[in-house]
Order: sequence, then structure tokens, then C-alpha cells
Amino acid sequence: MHPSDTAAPTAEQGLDQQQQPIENGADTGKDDRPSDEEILRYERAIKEAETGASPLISDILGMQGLEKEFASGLEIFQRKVKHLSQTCKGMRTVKRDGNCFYRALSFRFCELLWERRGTPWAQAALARAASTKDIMTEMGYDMSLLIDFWEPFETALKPQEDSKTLLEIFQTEYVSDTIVCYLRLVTAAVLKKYRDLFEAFILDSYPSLDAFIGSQVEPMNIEADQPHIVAISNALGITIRIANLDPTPTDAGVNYHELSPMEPLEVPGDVPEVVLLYRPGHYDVLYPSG
Amino acid sequence: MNRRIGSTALKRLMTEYKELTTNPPEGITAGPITEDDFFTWEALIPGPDDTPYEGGVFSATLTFPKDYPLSPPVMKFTCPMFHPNVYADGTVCISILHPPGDDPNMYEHASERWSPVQSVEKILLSVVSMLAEPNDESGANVEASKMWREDRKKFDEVVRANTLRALGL
Repeated sequence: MHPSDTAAPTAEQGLDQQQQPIENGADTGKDDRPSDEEILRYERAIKEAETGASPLISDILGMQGLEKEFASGLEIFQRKVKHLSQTCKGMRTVKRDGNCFYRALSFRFCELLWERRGTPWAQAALARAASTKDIMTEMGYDMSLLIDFWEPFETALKPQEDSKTLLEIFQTEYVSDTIVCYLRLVTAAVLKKYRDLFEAFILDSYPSLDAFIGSQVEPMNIEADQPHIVAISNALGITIRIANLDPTPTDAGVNYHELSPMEPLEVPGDVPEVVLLYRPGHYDVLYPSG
Repeated sequence: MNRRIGSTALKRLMTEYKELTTNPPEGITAGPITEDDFFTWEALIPGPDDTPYEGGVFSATLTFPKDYPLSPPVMKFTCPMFHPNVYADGTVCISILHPPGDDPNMYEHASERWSPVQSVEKILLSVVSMLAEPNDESGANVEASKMWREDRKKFDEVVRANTLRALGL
């Protein structure tokens, strides 16, 4: 979530409530206050205006968009963006709807499977992805009810006619959201499976791991954080490298965080990784050169 | 692909209906109003003991979106319901019925939200809890919230009168 998306309307809502005259009588049936639905419509309209008609995931774009975005920003950002422009051949923007991490990861993962179709890595990665159903069952998720969430992901994992078809799958809202949702549930299952490991990071801010999962992992539109990323990296056996576009000074051009699975896929030869670009509250897909 | 939207929802709703019929949670009944339309249900909810809703049976409709269970249903009481978390038109406002992007009422950040692992049964059980323990932070009915907070005796009287009316007494 982007804090700015919700903070302002919620504060206004609070004011409205205080100013609302209180009527007498049990069920006058009249209420001048905007209803939830009206507030939600308003919020959606604002969000829609902000994100415009931007696709769920874009074509591969040059780095000019990012340069433009930070053209009037702090010098440290401009330096980092310049470094990214020199070291990356392009990026895909992902819709800023709180699902961007899962959407970016799942798309790039499927795209790598397409690019490397037929290789030992692709076979091993496909088998590992399929095994996520078993983790869900093991952790008490009813796969007979949730199989419809696996199936669109399964379709996207298998080689399509061409790479354009894959993009179309991820640009079709219902299908794309279903894949995002499946990855959320897998993330939740992994957090439960390694409960002891993850609780240490979560119990500072949440009453229990299950409360964290029920409010921050399983529901849609909630942004992923470090524990989510570690969990899904483990589930899929893929290394996720994240370029961190923040104002921290660095000699490295840009700092990358690398999250490697505890049990990597054991295959000969070079193993691909998913590279993402992080700015506070948002992830996009990054394509490093070479 | 659009055909899949409705078919996933239909399959899921039929499974949930079967489960609710075989294993109904105590006192609650719920199911499609007609077998031709699995996307509109009626539910009957018993008022919890030791609350002014006790003895009442409250009717509500559940309207499911075509992308259920990705999105939650809308639940609306079809009988008089005076409660801090129910709008004047009967619409129920609790956190489990809202996806997190939609947050008109500043729910606690750890409160349970809608996701496909929730179910009609969990919604109905949450509504029974809501009747027993209103959340006056999220006042869908401002008047009921205020009365519940400041004049519990009067609140109980109004609710009891509604409860009798709902029973047709």
C-alpha cells in the first residue's frame, strides 16, 4: 500500500463523522453522511486517476521513464537512476495497486521459463512451482477449493505460443489477479511452515503470525515486505535480486538486495534470477544488460 | 477467459452451500434464494444470547460478485437492524467483508480481511460476533454507535423493540 492512498480520505472520513448531526429516533432511515460505497467509489476514482489506464504490466520500456520520474528529485536519486540506465537495458512497469511485487515476480518467473524452455533449469523450476500445491495442502489449505487459483498460474508457467501470449495472460485482470492471489496463498503457507523462523520478525508488530497472514499476506492489494519475499523465494527456489532506489549514499552505484532460497534448485549450468526495481511502496521488473 | 470468472464462482458457491447444509454452524441457515441463481443468497442469523438481540432471528441477503471468491459478497439485512456496524439500508460493514484497498473506516491494521480462504460460513460467524460485540470505532450507523457508547440502556431498549418487530410480534 502507498500510505498516501488511504491516509487522506480516512482522515476526512473521521471529520465527517464528527460533524454529522445526530438524529433522534431508532430507525429514521436517513443518513446524510456518504455511505461506505460512495467513499469507496470516490477512493477508486482517485486511484484510477493516479494510475490512469496503465496496464497491469507493461511492454519492455527503456529507462527514460525512470529518468524523467526523478528528473527533479534529489541528486542522489538522479545518480542512482543514471547508474541503472547504464547497467540495464530496460524495465517493465507494474500497476501500483499493492499487488505489484507478486505480479512482477510471477510474470518475470514465467518469462524466464519461456526464455529457457527445455533446459534442465526450466524443468526443475516447473516441478518446484507445482510442488507449491503440496505445501498448501500440508499447511491446511483446502486445495479442492483453491485449485482454480493454481490453474491460471500453471497455464502461465508452461511455454506459450509466443512471449506475447504470456504478456496477454498477465494483462487480463481476472487471470492476472488470480495468479497474484495464488502466490499470496503460497507465501502464507510457507510462513506457516517455517513459523518459528518467521515469528521472530513478525511478533514485534502483530499479535500472532496468523493475524499477520490474515491481514497482510492473504488479502489482495497489500504490499509485500521482506518476510513475504523471503517466503516466496523459498517456495519457488528462485533468487530474487532487488535494486533499491532509496536515498542512502553508496559507492556501488545502486545497492542490490539479494534473497536466495534456502533450498535452491539443483541443476547444472547457470541459473537465472528475477531482478526487480524497488522504490518505497513499489516494485517493477528490471532487465540488467549482459 | 471471462467464462471462467463465473464458473469458478459457481463451483465454489455450490461447494460452500453443500457444506453449510451438511454441517450448519449453530442456528444459522444460508443458501441461494432460488436454485436458478446461486449468486443471491438469503441467510437467517440468530441473535446471540445475553445480548438485546437474543431470541431474534434476523434475515439478510448475500450478493456475490462474478469474481467471487477473489472479491467478497455484499451482505444486507432485510429486517430492521439497529447496530453500530450496519447502515440504515441494512448493509453490513465489518472488516472481513472489505478487501484491504477499500478502507473507509480505519480498521485496525491487524484485523482480518477478505481473501479467498474466507467463506460464507466465516462471514456469518463474524456477523454473529458483531451482534454480540459492536465495533464503535467503525460507525456505519453513527446514531447507534453514539447510543451504544453513551446510553446503553436506551440502546438495548431500541434493539429489543426491533427484535420483537423482526419476529412479527
